[in-house]
Amino acid sequence: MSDNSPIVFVVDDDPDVLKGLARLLRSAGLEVAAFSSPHAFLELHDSSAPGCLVLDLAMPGLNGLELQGALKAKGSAIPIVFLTGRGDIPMSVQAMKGGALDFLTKPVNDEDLLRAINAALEKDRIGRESRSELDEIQQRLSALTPREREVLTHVVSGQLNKQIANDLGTVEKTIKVHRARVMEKMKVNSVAELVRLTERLKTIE
Amino acid sequence: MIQLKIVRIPCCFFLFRAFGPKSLLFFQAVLRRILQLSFNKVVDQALLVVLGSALLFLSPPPASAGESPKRVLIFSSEQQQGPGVLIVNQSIRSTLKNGLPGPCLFYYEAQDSFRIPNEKYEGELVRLLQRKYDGERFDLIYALGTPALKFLLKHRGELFTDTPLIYVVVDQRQVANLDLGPNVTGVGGKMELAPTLDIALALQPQTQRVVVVAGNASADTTYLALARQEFRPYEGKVEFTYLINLPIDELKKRLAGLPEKSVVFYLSVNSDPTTRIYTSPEVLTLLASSSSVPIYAASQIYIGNGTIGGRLLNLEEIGTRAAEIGSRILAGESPQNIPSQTIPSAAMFDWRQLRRWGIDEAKLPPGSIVRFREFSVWELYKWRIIGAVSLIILQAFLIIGLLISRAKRRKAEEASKLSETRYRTVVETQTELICRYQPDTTLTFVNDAYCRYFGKTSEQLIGTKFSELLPEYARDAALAHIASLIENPRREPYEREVVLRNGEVGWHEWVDHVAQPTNGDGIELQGIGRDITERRRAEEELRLSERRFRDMADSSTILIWLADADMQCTYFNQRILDFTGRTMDQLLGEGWLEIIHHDDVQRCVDAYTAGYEKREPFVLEFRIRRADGEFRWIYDTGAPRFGTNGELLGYIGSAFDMTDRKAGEEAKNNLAAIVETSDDAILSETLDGIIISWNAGAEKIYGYSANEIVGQHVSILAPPELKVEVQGIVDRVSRGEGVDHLETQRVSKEGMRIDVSLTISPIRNERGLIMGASTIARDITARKKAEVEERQHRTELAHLSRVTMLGELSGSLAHELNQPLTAILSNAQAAQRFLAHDDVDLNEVRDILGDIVKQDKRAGEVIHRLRLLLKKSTVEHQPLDLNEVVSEVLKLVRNDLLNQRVTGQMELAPELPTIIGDRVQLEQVVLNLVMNGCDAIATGPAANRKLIIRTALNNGDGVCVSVADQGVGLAPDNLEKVFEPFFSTKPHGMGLGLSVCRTIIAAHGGKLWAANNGDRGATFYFTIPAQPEIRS
Repeated sequence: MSDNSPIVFVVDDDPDVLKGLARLLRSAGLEVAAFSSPHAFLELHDSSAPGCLVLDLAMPGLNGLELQGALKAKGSAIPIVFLTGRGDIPMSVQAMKGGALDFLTKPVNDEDLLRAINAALEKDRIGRESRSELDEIQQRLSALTPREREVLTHVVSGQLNKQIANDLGTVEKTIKVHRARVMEKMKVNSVAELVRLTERLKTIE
Repeated sequence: MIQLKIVRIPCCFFLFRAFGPKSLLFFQAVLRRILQLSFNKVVDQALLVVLGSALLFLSPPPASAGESPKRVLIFSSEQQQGPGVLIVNQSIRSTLKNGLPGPCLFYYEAQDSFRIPNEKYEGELVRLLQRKYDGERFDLIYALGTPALKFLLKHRGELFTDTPLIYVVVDQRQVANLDLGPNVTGVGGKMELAPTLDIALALQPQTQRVVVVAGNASADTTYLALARQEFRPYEGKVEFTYLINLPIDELKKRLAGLPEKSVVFYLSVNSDPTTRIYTSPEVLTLLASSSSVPIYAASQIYIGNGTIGGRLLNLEEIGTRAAEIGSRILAGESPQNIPSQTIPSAAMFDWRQLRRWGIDEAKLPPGSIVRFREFSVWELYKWRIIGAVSLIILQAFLIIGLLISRAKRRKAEEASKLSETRYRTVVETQTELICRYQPDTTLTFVNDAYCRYFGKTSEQLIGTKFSELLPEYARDAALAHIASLIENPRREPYEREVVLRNGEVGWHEWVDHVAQPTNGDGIELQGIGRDITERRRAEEELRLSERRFRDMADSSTILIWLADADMQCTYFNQRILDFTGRTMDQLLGEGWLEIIHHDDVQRCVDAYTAGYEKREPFVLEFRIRRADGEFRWIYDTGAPRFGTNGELLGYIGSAFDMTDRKAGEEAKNNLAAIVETSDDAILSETLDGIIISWNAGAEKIYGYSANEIVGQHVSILAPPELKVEVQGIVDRVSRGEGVDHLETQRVSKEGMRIDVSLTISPIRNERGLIMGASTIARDITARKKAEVEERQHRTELAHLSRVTMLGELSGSLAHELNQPLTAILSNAQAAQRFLAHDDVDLNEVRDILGDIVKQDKRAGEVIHRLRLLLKKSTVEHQPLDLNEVVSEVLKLVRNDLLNQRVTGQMELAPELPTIIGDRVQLEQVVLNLVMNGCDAIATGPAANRKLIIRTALNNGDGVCVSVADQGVGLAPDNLEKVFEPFFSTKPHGMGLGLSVCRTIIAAHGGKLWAANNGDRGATFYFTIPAQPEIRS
């Protein structure tokens, strides 16, 4: 198993159901990690590893919703597909609000489940990708001096050098230098490119 | 009788004078005895002769010859031998003769107008009578019959103008329209036929037909008209046949052929179509012998001629009354002052005819006169003896009286002119022993009777002492008596013993007195004596017999009493006196009535009187006050005592205290009433199972009447499959065991099944032997039906409650089912995918299939469990482990608990006893309690969301299950209310769950209750006994 292949985590207190689900997912070529205890899963969970979670809603001790909350608190963004014995609307609403990807009723058809899992994995992958691009931008941004960050802010707001110099109480020339450094440090060739990057950061924050 | 009473007074008077008061008493006693025998003609007549002669002898000499005799003319319509005239004429003459102080001359004239109509010579007859009695003066004239009266009245101016006239007619109505004029009065009967018919119908109640016989003469048609009129009201009740003016031979034939249930009413036949001439009574005589049924008549003239009798024209009484009126007129009374009299007819019967037709004398109307009574040879013989003995006694007294009377009178009239010869003749002809003797008993004279008695000649006797004829021990007493007579001269009977010719000792009664000595000097006594040995023996016998009776009566524990013919009690035995604490005097007569309970007196008197009237035995039940004041129930029977002539002497009664028996009877009656009025069937049977009693309740339940079932075998009531049970019960009872409230089935007469509860116990006799069985059967069909209905109702309710509960659980249950289904689906689809791979891992597929099977079974179990709970099953009792029941329920609700974030904690006691119960129902109860518990804590903080379900041993042999929650608990008021139907604290609850649970637990013999916990929340408990008494 390569480090970057995603893993489907399954948590259900019913061992038979757990076994069946795990078997089905494996038959579909997925990497599966099955847990019959939500606590055990929470302890071992590594949020950096790609994958998704198939979680039974009704469990003794720590139920599905509680586990969802605990994972979020831990900073894990792992997508969750909930399974439930009955269509309990209040619970499903709560689950979806908590960021659940899907809410499936037992017994669940393989296609529905796999579709949901695939969607979850895709979401995980995308999430992970977008998270690494931002990290790059962030790194570049963190290389800027505070004066450069001020200039960046003015630049992306569409001000001319002269205006910026006036605002910052300096001369146009100095601004030009800063501007060039920002462009360099942010590894962009145009102001438009710089604006797109800063926009990305805004969406994440 | 009347004559007897008349003679009694002078006789007594005489005796009183002659013998002093003591002899009078004795005579009265004798007379009373005789009076009691008054029906005995022989005695009567004999007495009459004796008394009559005595009377003649004793009565004062006839009135002086100067008084002229009374002259009485009897003027009759009929010839002297006419049947009615015969009686009336005789009656008038004898009564008048006896009633008048002086002589009386009778003249008789007859018109004979019935046979020879005398209109054509009436004038001559008047003249003849004028001539015949010219110069004769009558003091009184009797007109017998209406024609005679009419004749005399018509010619009153010419004949016997001023002579008082007394008419005597058959019916007073005949003179109603006559102008009697002054100086006339009379006596009439009342001719009536209906009373006789009443008697006939009373004596022969079966009578359907009355054959009326009458002739065609004018007298006959009068009666016939009367009959048709008087019989009219009877025509609906009986059929009347009139035989009128038939020849005697024909009549005889007709009467001989009469069927039973007929009677003949003989009116009068004075005509016969044939030439033979008979009087009406003669015709009756001819008919009577051949008649096949009794003949009734309405006039005394027919009595003795073959009629049984009836309410008859009382001619004798008419004559007597006419004579009495005559005496008054002859004594100077004016006829105007004497009203005419109507004599009612009298019930009179011919004893021989009563006998012939077998009619009981007791049925005759009260006061009936019975004529021509005959006596059996024995009766005659017996009373002749008694009469003779009485006569001898009486005669002796009379003779003594006579002698003394004569002697006295002679002495007064002719001083000492008594002829020795005559005296001797008188003495010698006596059967009495007469003797004279000196004070030392030396005999100076003995009569023939004396000699004959002792078998010696007078020569042999005179000069000897009669004391030698006495037993030695009696001699001194005899001498002492003589001495006392001399000292105190008197006449009184003296009884002494005497040696008889045969050497035996007999008894004599002597009346001795000091007499004039025949030879003039010394003292001589004269004695008249007779042998009273027989009487003494009889008296002795009587005394003994009476003594025996009294001894017997007084020693008897039975109450014995005697009463005389006048209903007066004359004797009570000692037992009665002891019992009542009264003296004989207090009770005698009607004194006994005083101690009879007030409420019973009238009833007693009625029954007592009725008994006397019918002369039949009677039974009285009454309360009498005992000596201690307590009223006791007495059972008294009285039986009439009859004299030899059938006359009532009185009653003898015996009685006993029946209070205890009565109380027993009452108790028995009460019990019987209870049995009879019971709605339960109460029956008894022999040990062979034969039904011997059957009450109304049994009739109602089983449909058989007592008549139908008594004698049948009791197994007739059992349905075929239960006949064995009946035999078993009979066997049990034979062993002395009973059956208590056995619920079984029986079959009614109509074949209907009846649910009954039987209680059967052995019946024992006094000795404790089992004689049979008594069965009380209660019809519990209705109760059984109600029970079944209630059970069904309960089951349905339980089911409803379960369904409701499962509805609430449905999400959880769906989950429970979804789990295996999910596993199955996943596995199956995994298998499909594996199989689609190029390299199929068959081991994997095999594993999958195994898991699928396992999960399928798991799903099946869930469904089975669900179906069980949803099933509307009948109750099945089976051995159960309650731990298992609790675990099963928790499995079922597991998901629900999860959903509600509730922890169910089981604390199960090991080795619980097995209980008997219905699994589904008990699971329902646990489920209910658990779900209630969940509800109680659903809104509470997470820390309190815990249910503890415990099982524990209860009181050593049962099981207690409890479900404890950590909720808010129950309001104290609601601890009980929660078990009431339709009580709910939940907004959507039906409020049936707990009430159904309580019924279920109660049906298992257990209890279900709730209690608040010490800290928080409430606990519900239920117990089930280890050996529960299951209510079906």
